[in-house]
Amino acid sequence: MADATIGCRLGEDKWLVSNTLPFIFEHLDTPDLLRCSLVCKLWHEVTQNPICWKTVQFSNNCNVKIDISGLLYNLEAHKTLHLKMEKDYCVRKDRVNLTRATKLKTLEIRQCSTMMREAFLHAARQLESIKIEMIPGAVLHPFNIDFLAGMPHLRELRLSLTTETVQVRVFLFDVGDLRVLYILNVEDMFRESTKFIKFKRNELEVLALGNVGDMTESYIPSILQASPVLKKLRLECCSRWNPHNFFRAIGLMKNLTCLELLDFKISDGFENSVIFCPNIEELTIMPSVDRFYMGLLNARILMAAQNLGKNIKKFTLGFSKRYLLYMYDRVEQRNVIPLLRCYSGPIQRDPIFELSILLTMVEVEAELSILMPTAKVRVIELDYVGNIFK
Amino acid sequence: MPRIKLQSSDNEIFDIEVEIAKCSVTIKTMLEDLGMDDEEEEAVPLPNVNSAILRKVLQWATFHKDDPPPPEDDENKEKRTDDISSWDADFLKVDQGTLFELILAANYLDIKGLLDVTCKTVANMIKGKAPEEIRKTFNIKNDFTASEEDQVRKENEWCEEK
Repeated sequence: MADATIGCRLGEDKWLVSNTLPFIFEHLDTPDLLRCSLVCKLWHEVTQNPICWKTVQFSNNCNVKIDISGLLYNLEAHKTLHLKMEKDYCVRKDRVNLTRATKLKTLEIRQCSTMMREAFLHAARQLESIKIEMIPGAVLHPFNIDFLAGMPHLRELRLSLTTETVQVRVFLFDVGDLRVLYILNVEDMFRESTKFIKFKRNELEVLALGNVGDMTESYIPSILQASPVLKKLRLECCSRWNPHNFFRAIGLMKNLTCLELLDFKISDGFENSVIFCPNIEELTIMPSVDRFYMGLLNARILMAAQNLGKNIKKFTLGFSKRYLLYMYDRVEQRNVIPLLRCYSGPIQRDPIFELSILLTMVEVEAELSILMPTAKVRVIELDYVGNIFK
Repeated sequence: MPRIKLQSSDNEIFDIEVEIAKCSVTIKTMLEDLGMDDEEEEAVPLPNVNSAILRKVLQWATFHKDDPPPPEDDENKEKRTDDISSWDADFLKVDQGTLFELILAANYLDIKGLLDVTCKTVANMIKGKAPEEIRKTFNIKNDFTASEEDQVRKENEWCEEK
């Protein structure tokens, strides 16, 4: 009964509309939904259906200005559970009534401003999960113990900071009832006064820390001791530690089975130290770009694989674009300029080079698979340093 | 391979594998509740779906029979409509009437995968369009009075398009 005149019915047939449109509107970004409310009376009625408001989402291509108190009003009125913003579009038109109790459970904001974050920390006490990427320069002071205490349901906190971190140290004292904690893109969190950084005993199951390179060596063991149920640990920009001590500390964590080391310097002793952690079942390593150690990388990885042997179930060796570019420059016999360390954009690669890289990866993958017969081995291009959404 | 008979609203009988029919949660529960066994001769009546649409639905279900089961209603999934497979996109190159009939059928038969992909297809016809363009696309008459329209605009004022 394909009806060519279904269009007329979409403006009039209430049964048809209420049995189809809500499921369609559910997939729309909020600005699209609002435009639909202007189509006709029937459509306007459908846009009030809670199913359309369960997730309020503003994608990257939305070009809007949002009055934040209006947003909070709508989140409250429609009992929205999830808010996702790929940019921070908010402006504050008035100063009254900013605090509205929303029912939000999850909050995801990229390029978040201080105003925006504060508004939500006050309005959304029910939050269970927060994922926020701060814009550079945003002030951080509300991120302290008080803010966690005001959110008794919060179990997941993922922050990308890109800014000063004075107060983060304080916040780190007590991670409350969190099960998942990510703190990435911290500029100098661990650089100075590391004596202030200690975790209280906690229930963390997943922990990701960025820029840990300058952290003192005793820091990781102290975090691990405080986190007895930790299952997954991700560390970024790890460079200076003695691998012997590091892997020994990991080996003491019986529940810890998944380890991700990104931008990791595979230094002397790595290959033999991995035997200290038979508990690790999933291991991801993304080596850092380091002229001195690169030549030895393959040999070290292969020896480590041999030592890891049968316990390991999943082994991923990832190379960042930056790393591949570095190799490219080596191939080309050009000088590597320090600038490359910051390179993250798309790179123009020579197809022959691409192919040779690919072949090398396949070769290494095959060799590793032989050494770790029970593991699922992958050698891939990979880069999620600083990404809180991974 | 056990088979089952389905009867459309216009009394056409479709004879298909039970496993394919069970991608419809409605049919699956019906079979379980009624304790219908695999030897059942009786056709299962589907009074809300005509033969043309049922044929399409079964074509979709046959192609997707080996898909992994859809994830439990993930509360917090990202809204996206650019993840329609090319087979589905081709399959859904049909007139608007058929598309909406498919949505109704997928909803009635409770086939999540088909409901998602048909709804995303229509969502893509709406995305980025001004209200007048949407009306044109679906041949809808604007029945707002000027003051009613103003009222709705006011409701939406908090989110101003630049």
